[in-house]
Amino acid sequence: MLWNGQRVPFTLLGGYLGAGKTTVINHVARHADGRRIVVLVNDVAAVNVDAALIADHDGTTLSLTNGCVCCAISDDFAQTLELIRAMPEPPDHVLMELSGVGEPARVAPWASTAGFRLDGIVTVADADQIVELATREYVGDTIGEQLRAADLVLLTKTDLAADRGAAARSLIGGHTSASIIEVRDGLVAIDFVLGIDRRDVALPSSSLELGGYDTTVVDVGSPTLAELEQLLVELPPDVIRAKGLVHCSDEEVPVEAHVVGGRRTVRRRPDLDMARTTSRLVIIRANP
Amino acid sequence: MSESGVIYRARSVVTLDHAVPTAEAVAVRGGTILGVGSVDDMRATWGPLPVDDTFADAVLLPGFVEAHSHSLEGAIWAWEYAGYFPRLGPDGRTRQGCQTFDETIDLLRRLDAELDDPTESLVVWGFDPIYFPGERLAARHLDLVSATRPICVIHASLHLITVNTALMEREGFADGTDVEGVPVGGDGRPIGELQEPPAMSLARREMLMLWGAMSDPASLRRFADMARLVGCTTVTELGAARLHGDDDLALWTQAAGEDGFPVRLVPLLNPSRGHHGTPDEIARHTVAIRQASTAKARFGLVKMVLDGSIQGFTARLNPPGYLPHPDGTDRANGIWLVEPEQFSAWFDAFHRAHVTVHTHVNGDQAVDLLLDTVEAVTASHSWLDHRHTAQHTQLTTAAQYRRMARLGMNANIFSNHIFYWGDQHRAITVGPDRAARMDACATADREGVRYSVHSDASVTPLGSLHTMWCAVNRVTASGNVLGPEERISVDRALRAVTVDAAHQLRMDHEIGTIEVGKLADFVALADHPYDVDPITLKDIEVLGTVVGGEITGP
Ligand SMILES: [Zn+2]
Repeated sequence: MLWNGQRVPFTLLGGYLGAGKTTVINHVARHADGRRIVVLVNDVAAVNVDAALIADHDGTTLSLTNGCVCCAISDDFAQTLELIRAMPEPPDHVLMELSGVGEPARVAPWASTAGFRLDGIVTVADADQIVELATREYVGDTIGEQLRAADLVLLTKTDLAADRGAAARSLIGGHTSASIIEVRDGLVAIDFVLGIDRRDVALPSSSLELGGYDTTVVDVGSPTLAELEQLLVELPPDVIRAKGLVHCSDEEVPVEAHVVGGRRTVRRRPDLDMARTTSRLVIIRANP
Repeated sequence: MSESGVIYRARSVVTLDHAVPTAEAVAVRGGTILGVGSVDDMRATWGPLPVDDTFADAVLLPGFVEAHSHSLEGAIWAWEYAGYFPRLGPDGRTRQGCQTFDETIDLLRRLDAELDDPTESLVVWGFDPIYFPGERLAARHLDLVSATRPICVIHASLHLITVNTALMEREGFADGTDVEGVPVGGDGRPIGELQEPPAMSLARREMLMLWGAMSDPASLRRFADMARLVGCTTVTELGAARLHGDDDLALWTQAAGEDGFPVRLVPLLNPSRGHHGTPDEIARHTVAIRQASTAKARFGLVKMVLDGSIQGFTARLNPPGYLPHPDGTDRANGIWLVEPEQFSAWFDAFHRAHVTVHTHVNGDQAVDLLLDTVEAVTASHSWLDHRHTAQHTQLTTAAQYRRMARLGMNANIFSNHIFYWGDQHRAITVGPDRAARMDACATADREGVRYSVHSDASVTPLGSLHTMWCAVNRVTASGNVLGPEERISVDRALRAVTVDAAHQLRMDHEIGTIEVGKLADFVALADHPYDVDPITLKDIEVLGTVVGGEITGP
């Protein structure tokens, strides 16, 4: 069976042309911090990292010395994903850039196909542009769909907007209750985008420099599965992400919990052992 | 055919050349037309050329030109057909189809017995659940054929497959999966139906086989054989193939370069198919690959896609949009496949490089965006004979055709939709009023737009006579006439699938009519299309084709 049944977290990155998706991708590629991230992009040439970081470049694939691989999205999602499935070891995360008119909700089913699990939908919005875009001929409703599907919205270029992004926030709020994270100079805490999979709580310095959030470990005890689900729903609105394994009193195997903005996923993990795991949640809260 | 030439005598030669509409015979030499007229006149002019009477009882016309098709039509025949209706295969044999589940299972059992390797997948295609309303094909039916060999039945829509338990076990989801589009039965286990491409991708090996077939030269040969059998002498691949490197081009030139290859292939380049670089670089590449063109493989045109399909509710519509869901809730508008800015940047670069662009526009809002774009690029660079073509144009209004005419554009109208989905368009997608003016050939004529009509094979079967029949009769699958005011004459439809199709491929100086100096590409029919009852147009027998002066054959 593919990767012994392991499912790689898969994040969709949406947003219109000029919203700042490429800046986010460049930032993630530079700061993979040893995580093996596969980044699927429309144009590999737009991925801009230090030449010293490039291990290999063949026009459609860019391998970085830090373990990150950027691949051009080929003709077809199915074929693109098969390229990843052909890797002998599963990557730690897949981040896929949608086209400017890509509607995340329609693409999302791909993120749960063989070997993957949808981690979240992140939509990037330009504070200076989004209000006009949302009423623009031809694409206005597409912009609305991109916001509606979002689990997290990254709001960029607030410094360029006359009102520091107030109108943008109110427009976004009209489409979604997803958390809105302000991104300054295109820098975003990678943990917001990718979560905290495969790492311990200690955050590397590159993330700390960005500031703006804090991380806490919460001991949730042994709730029933239903209580756990309720607890996740009741998390405060400034919780951007949460992840952990929980030992539920009415389950024989650990239960994996994920929160990405408004998305909550709870999944039994029969492949994991109660005795070898601890019951806890790691929570990232925005702290602006 | 020899270098010295030959005269093909026919019951009648219908030239579509207004100067010499009909003739007794056509003389060919070196692959081109030497003369059109009586045998005596041509011999008096060109000497004692031999007369070939192969088509003496046939009506000879310009070979049909399919200006919107896909080579998937050939790729899919790597596997057997399991649809409801009888269907002609590339080997010239008609499959009778499976009208009951038992017949489907019998076909699968026979094919299973023919496979030696017990792990090899058994794939069939063309199954259409619409004709089996009582029961739903499921793994339990396919398990009767084999409990060990993976079986995959591709539905006619290409958006659904049904697989057996052995296949689900191989991929590890026989007990369940959280992938969207995998319905389960009463026991909570998948019933074997995989809906839409993400779920279909669970049949990993079979889907990879299908992609692999797309770049197999044997698929192009089958595509060409299918074309020959229905009288096409030129067929297109509208942008589904990659035309980037030398290997991509060689696939086409080598297949078409084989002795006696029965058709001319015109693959269009789609910039979103793995072409990275600036718009100007891609435009220069498109111009450059024209140098690789051969007699039967032609490069240098472009295809782009703006929206989706009407029956899939993904085409972009102007208000009031799609009819509501059956429960009364609104349906969202369709999707864009490319940003307007990116589309216009590509279009502008192609236009300035004098590359004709064909654009997939099913919905009327997509047509508006195309017209705005063409208006902008033609205002910034003058190229009067651009022949930019709107493809499908299913919901195009009279006002849009008027703009199209002023902008010097062509259309290629998806007439086959009237038969295959007309009833659904009337009842489910857009309603009777808009359905009546879908695929509006007569309106295009009234407003002065030159157009072709097409099959979009393999979306609907390749066959220019059938496509003409749809445009002339506008009869739906249930037998109703959809929008009688939009019907056109047989002569108009015939020009649409010959000279006007050639025009939008920039080949009308070479093909599309039977005229001295043009390529000797003909189709031989058993009956004269003008003489038969128009409702029987699709039933006229194709007796053969001539490509480059040579009679094609298996
Ligand atoms: Zn097509």
